[in-house]
Formats: sequence, C-alpha cells, structure tokens
Amino acid sequence: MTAEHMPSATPSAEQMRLIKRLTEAVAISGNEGAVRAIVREQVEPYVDELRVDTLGNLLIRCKGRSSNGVRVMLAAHMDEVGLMVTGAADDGTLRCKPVGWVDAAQFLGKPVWIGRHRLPGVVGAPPTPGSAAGASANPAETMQIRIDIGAMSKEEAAGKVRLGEQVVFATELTRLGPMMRAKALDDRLGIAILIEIVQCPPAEIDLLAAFTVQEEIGLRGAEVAAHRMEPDLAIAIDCAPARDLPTRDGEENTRYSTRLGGGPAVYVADRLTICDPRIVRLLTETAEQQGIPYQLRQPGEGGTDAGAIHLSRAGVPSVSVSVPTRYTHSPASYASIADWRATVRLLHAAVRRLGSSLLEDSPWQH
Amino acid sequence: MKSLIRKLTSTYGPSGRETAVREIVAAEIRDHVQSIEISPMGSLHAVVNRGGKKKVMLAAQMDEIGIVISYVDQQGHARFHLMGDVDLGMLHGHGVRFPGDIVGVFGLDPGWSEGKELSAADFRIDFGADNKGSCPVHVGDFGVFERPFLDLGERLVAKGLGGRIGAVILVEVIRQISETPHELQFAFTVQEEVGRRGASTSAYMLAPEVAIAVGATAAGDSPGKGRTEVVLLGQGPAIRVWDLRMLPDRRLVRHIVDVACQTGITHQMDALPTADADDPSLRATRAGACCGRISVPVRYLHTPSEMVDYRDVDEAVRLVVELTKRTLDVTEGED
Repeated sequence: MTAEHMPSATPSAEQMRLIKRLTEAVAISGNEGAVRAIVREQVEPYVDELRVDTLGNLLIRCKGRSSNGVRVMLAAHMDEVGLMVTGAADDGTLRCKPVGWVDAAQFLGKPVWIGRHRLPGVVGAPPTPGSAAGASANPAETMQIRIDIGAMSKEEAAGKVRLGEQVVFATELTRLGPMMRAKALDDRLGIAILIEIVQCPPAEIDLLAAFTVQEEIGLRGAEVAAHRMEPDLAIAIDCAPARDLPTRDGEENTRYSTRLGGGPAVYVADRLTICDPRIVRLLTETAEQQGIPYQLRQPGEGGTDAGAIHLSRAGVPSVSVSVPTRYTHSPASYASIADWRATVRLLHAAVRRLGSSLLEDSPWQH
Repeated sequence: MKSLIRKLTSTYGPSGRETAVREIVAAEIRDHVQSIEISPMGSLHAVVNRGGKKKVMLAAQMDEIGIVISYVDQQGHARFHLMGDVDLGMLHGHGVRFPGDIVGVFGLDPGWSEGKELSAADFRIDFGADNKGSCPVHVGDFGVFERPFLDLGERLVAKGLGGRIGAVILVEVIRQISETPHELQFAFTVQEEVGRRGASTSAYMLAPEVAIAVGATAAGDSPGKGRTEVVLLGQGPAIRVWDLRMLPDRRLVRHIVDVACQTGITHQMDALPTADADDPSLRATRAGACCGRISVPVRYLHTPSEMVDYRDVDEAVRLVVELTKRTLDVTEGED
C-alpha cells in the first residue's frame, strides 16, 4: 500500500458536498431512488460490473487482479427512516404511518419534506381526548400523527400529495466545527464511505459493493444482495447510536454503545450477529498498525445488514463497522468528521490486507 | 460415555466461540467418518457412507449459553450482555469462566428491589479487582458458567449439559455405527443458543432429505409442587410431536416410535412450546426437509446446573443408532 493512496484525514470540499447531497436526498425504505442516482453517478466510471436488482439494491463488482481472489462484500444501506402518507383527512391534513423505527414524538412540531421534490410540511397530532386543545399528543399514538401542508380540504391535500408518498425530516446539513449535523447520517455516511472505497478499489480481492435497500425495515435488501453475490466474507458499514452523554445522576455511563470522537466502532456481537473474530482482529490490528483510532462497539442490542448477510446460503463470516452517531433516527443526527474519515481510512487499509489466507490459515482461533 | 460428557461439558464454548469444542469433537470422531469439513460459520460436518440411499442429517449444537462483556466500570466490575436464553434468576452468586482460567462471580446490585423484573443490567461480575486497570477481562470477551461436573450415579449435573448432550450422543452414535443404508450427515452446529444460526447455514450446505435434531428438552419433573410431569428424567429419550416453531413430520415421528418399540427402547413423547434445538431451521432451509427431534430430558435447563439421567442418554444413543440402520421411507408421498 502506498501512502499517497490513503484517504485523507480531513475531507475535501467535494467530499463535504457529497455528504450534504446524500443526507439531504429523500429516500425512505422502499423508495431509495434519489440516493441510488447519486451513488450511480459517483461510482459508474470505476466499476467492472453494475446492476440494480429486483428490490433496488445497487450491486457493484470491482474485479481483483487474480481470477480467484477472495470475494469481499461491503454493504451500506441507502434507505432512511421516515413516514409514509396513508391518506388525507377532511381538514386537509395528511395521515401517515412510520417506516422503520421512528419515535412519533420525534416528529411532533418538526418541519418535513414530502416526496423527492420536497414539498414542505409540519407534523402535528390531534389533541389527546379530554385534554385542553393544543395539548401535546401521547407519543405512543403513532398512527395519529398528521401533516399540515397548507391544504384546506381533503380534495386539496389529495391534489398535492399522492398516497404512499414519503416524508422525511427537513434538515439541511450543517457543519459545526469538527462535527456535522444532518438528517439520515445513518447510513448516508456509510454510503459515502463505500463510494470512496469503490473509487479506489483494492487490487488483490474481488470487491463486491452492495448499496442496499430496506435495511431499516428488516435488512430486506441485504438478504437478497448477499444471496446473489455469494461473498466469502462481508463487512457492513453503518452508523451506530452514540449514547455517550453524561448520565443525569452523574453516575458512570455504562451503556454508551459508542462514543463520538472515538473512531470507527468495530462490532463484536449485537442482537443479530456474532461477528467473525478473525475479521474483528484484522480490523483492530490494522487500526493499531496504521495509527487509526478505533473503538469496540459495546456488545448489546441492535443490528446491521450483517445480520442478514452472515446467514446467507452456507454462511458468510461477517463484521460491522460503524460511524458513531448521536441522535440517530431524529431530525438532527450528529457525527464527528474525524470519525467518518477514520472509518474510511480503516476500511481502505483493511480491505488491502484481506486475502483468502485470513480464512484458510486461521480457522476460528480465538 | 460419562468421561465424554465430562469433557464436552467442561469445555469452554459459548455461541460464536466453539473452537475448543469443535476440536474435541473432531478428534473423537476422526477415525470413524469418511470426511470432515468446517462450514464458513464454524460448524463441523462429518459424513458416513457418502452416496448412500437417503441424505439424512443428524444435527446437534456445540455451543452453550453465556455472556459477553460490555463494560468494565471504575471499580473493576464488569457489565455484560446475554448470549442466549439465560435464566437470570439463577445468576446471583454463580461463577463465570473466561479463557485463560479467569473466573468471576455474578453479583446482583443491592439496589435491585424485589418484584422488579431482572435484567442483565442488574448484575455485576466481580473478579476480585478493585479498579478498572486490574480487571482481567475486556469488552468483547465471552464467558460461560462455571460449574464442576457432578456425577450423582445415574444423574449427572453440569453446566452446558443442555447444550452439549446432543453432541455427546452423536459422537457416541458415530463410534457405534456399523452399517447404514443412508448417507449420514452429522452436523455439529454453532450458534444455536442465539437463534439456530449454524443450523440453517449447515442445512443449506448439506441439503438433506431427512433431518433429525438431537438435543435437550425441559424435564417437567423438577422437585416441587408445580411439577408438570410432562417429560420425566429416566423415562428415556423424548420424541417431539409439537412445539411453537416446529411440527415434526408425523411419518418420521411414527417411524422413530416404531423403531423404539421394536427394539425395546424406553421412550416418551414430548410436546412443549419452547423450541430449543436446531430443528426449526433444518426444516425450512432450501426446499425444506422432513424433520424430527429426539431429546434428552434436562432439569434446570438454561441454568448453570443442568441435570440429566445417564440412562436417558444411553437410550438416546441406542435409538439413533437403530434409526441409522433402517431404511426410511418418509420423504415423499402420502402418509
């Protein structure tokens, strides 16, 4: 590996613009076209094979130098959580349902974009029965939230927004010194990282890049992508919640999951996957050799596309690497630019050390 | 076989960390099988009589329930996440073992109040350390229950017994097989306790026509007023007819019962809601398999002290050996 190829620790203006475009694209699960178009434009000149599969996954192959190179799948998901319009009420407000794991309370009073053309709206909820008019709704009544779009009747609303239209938080990316604030950093950061890896692919392996759909509603894209790609091993690139604020009572925060600024979070085990210890070790050793900060994501709940990929066919040794992100699935998630860059650097270096010998020479030594 | 039970149950092997168990199994069966291969997940597959009449998969898990360290606090006590269905009511005061002869003790937070539902967050692991730096384990380390093997005559007590008893039986079956019309595919699977992840991937690789999972079932005769008497220790292997995830093929069930009756093997029927072996995943992989389940009754299942009756283990071995000798005509057509 030559030093000049190592991705830079500080992002270029172009890379910042790409993150901005990706996070501001409107693409909830099942409706990933806006992100897919950006990815396609970014990677097309660099790839040997490209296809969009039946579910909408964008699948790429960058052939290695040798014909029997190890097949390495890298996956990042294009979709984000949001709402879907399910109807219009007589008063001209829109009814909607959540897509993916969203807390309805997160939406109340927030500006939203409806559809790819970003029709503006604001989310509210009918007052709770028995309470004073305008009192805040019970967040548990997810199905009751409504969207005001300035329509005064059911007919007017129906004329502006079609049933099934997607709704996302209306947040533009803002850089806050070494940090950034945006919607959908989960997983547009992963998408940006995977784009960068594809643009400078390793020569010794067969790189299979999967830009997946429908992760937020159950890893549905990754499952079929892995079946088609038949990888020898896989890495899911995602964003992990950072619950690293100090606790209210001043006690030690023992359940932070990941910490902002601590570098890429390498998974050991989550609810869906026990990561292959050989790939975990390769990642941590690579980080140490290259002087890249990293952290182990606290074993616990949660899951990534690796949950579906590692059970594909006869099984695929897999791991997840995530950028720590505060306030995930909210209108304003918050991540460290240094963590993002360190994650690109770690993966760039790690995929260059992957070879068939990793799996052949060290079968399940712990 | 008792020494094999002792060896396999005392070996460290939580879900995802089955290497040591796999190596023992491989050494025990190597001279009796045609081939051994390891799946990408780490499951061990061994074949007897390749090319035989019917592809019959016999599966048993290698892993045991355990925990993984999620945090070490300033006082040097560790927090953890559960790997598998651990009965939390049993943890307080129990030992936990890590590779490298590291042993700690689970302690319940004194702040826990009676009546509140227990969670892993209510416990600490105490290694005798008094600060973060002297704690011998790190985030990501996997631990298993610590419990010496107890031989109480007919009854045996050990940690990991529920998990490993199927593997013990299959190892013994492999050693005893003389002749079989079938291609027998023995699968010693990984990661059963976290969701049968080894079983589905192994079944994909092996593509069996008939699959029988061999494992443990919860005995209903633990001492006390609430005993259900559904499955009893010492009454022979349990043949499952129903659970919440799996309806064993009734033709296969009848075949197993017929073989047991013909050969005078004590057995009992088992219909329990909990799915606690590989069979549900074996049934549904690829185009599906004709699937069944033979279990040894275990008291105190999913605790550090699981108890079996040795005679049940012995009879289970006999039953599986007898099954492998006979033709099986259950995969196609009407019953």
